[in-house]
Amino acid sequence: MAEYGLMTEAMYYVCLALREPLHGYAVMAAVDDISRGRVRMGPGTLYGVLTRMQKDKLIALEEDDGRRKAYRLTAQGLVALQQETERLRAMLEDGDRLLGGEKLGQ
Amino acid sequence: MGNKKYAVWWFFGGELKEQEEWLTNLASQGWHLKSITAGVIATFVEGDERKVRYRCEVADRISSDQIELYRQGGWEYVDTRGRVHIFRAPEDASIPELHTDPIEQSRTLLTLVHNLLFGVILLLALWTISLSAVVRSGTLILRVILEFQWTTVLKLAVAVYLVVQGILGAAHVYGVVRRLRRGSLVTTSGGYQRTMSVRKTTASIIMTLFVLAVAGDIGFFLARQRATSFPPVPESILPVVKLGDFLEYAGYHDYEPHTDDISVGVLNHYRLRSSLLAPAQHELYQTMRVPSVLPAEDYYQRLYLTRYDTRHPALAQALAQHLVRVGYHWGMPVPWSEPDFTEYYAHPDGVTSWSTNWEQGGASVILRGNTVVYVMYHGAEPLDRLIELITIRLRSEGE
Repeated sequence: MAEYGLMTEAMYYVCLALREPLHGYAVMAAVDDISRGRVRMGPGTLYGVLTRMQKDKLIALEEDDGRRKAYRLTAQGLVALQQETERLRAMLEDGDRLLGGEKLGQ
Repeated sequence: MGNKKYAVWWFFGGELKEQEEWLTNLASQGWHLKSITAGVIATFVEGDERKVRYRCEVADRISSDQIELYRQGGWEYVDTRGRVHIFRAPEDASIPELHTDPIEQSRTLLTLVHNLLFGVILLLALWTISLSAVVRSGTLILRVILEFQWTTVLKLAVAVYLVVQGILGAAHVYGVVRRLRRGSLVTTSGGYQRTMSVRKTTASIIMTLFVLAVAGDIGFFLARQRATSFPPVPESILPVVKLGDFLEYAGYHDYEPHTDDISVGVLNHYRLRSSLLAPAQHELYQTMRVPSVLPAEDYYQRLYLTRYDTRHPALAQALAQHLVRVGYHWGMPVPWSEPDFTEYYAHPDGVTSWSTNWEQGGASVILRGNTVVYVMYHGAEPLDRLIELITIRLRSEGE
């Protein structure tokens, strides 16, 4: 199985949002929803992420009317997202195991 | 429509935060950016005094879908300056920052670092190419001594400034990139006034130097155009010697001086050139028809003489050696088709000469102190007589 590189937080949430085709601005709103308001994505960050992920074939152009573009996650993108989720899960488990469930700052 | 005002855009491409602060500050005073002309002049229109965030986005080009996405995100596109695109949004908590992820932002800024360094490398490459062309022609020292003008110094100063600023700008942006990679978002520096004041001073000086250099070049060009009508050959005060000084024929003035009719092979002119290292370069070209007894036809005597007064004996020495090696004729190198200057002679009183004799005439490079005389002669008189006259004249000046 191909190995994909680490994702930034912005990339990860864009992948999550693009499991269904969305226009750029709708991605921003979806990320806000998915992260329950924790991650707010600026348009500059989003545009950079979309451009690079499209170049890396993690997402594909679904629709382009000249002014607005809609994207969706590709099969490669889905694999990359799953790999990254596994990596993050493993990190969390390690953290939980060593900290014994204690909350930081307590 | 509100009042307008114009301002010079003093900042360099890499000073993004400073530009943002400047525009934000002007907006709080009621002046809102409308457009940027030629990357230098900013037009502002008067409006409400309100808090507006200005942000500089970096991209090779801005596309309509990018502008649309930013608009939907609450950011209005204003104008572009090179690879920097200006956006603005009201101070409103519901509108997120243009960039919310430091790692992602560092990637866009890295393209600016590359662009700045590319500009520096391009400038250095152009220097190298132009310099190597001169070096290949083997006349670098000749060109520097004989053609190096103050305008060249000014242009060099401007080029050095641009290269240094390009490198400093790239280093500045790279510093921001490193901060972003460590995970901190860029905050305003609060120091745009100081940067602007430094830029105003340095850029004003550099612009003045550049304008002076261009004006100087135009002046030199016009002077050269005018020089096609040469001044008359001076009758009495001359640099070194002229044909009349050593020809004994009465009819030597057959041709009027300062005619320049190449079609019949007649060249008579005198002119004075100048450079920083050789401030006085007297050039004398004379052709005269000499009545002859034997053979039956008249023949021509030709003298090409240039006297270079340099600023230092070492410059004169270097110039003399190069003239001996490659020759120099009206600003163009002349590889010698004749035999080399094999006759070397050290005269009394510090005069040195290198000569070559032809069937009729010859050529010589004569050096004394700061002065080099370069002479070519076609005629019946012995070259040695001409060299002797020149050395006597040079020695008399030193006394």
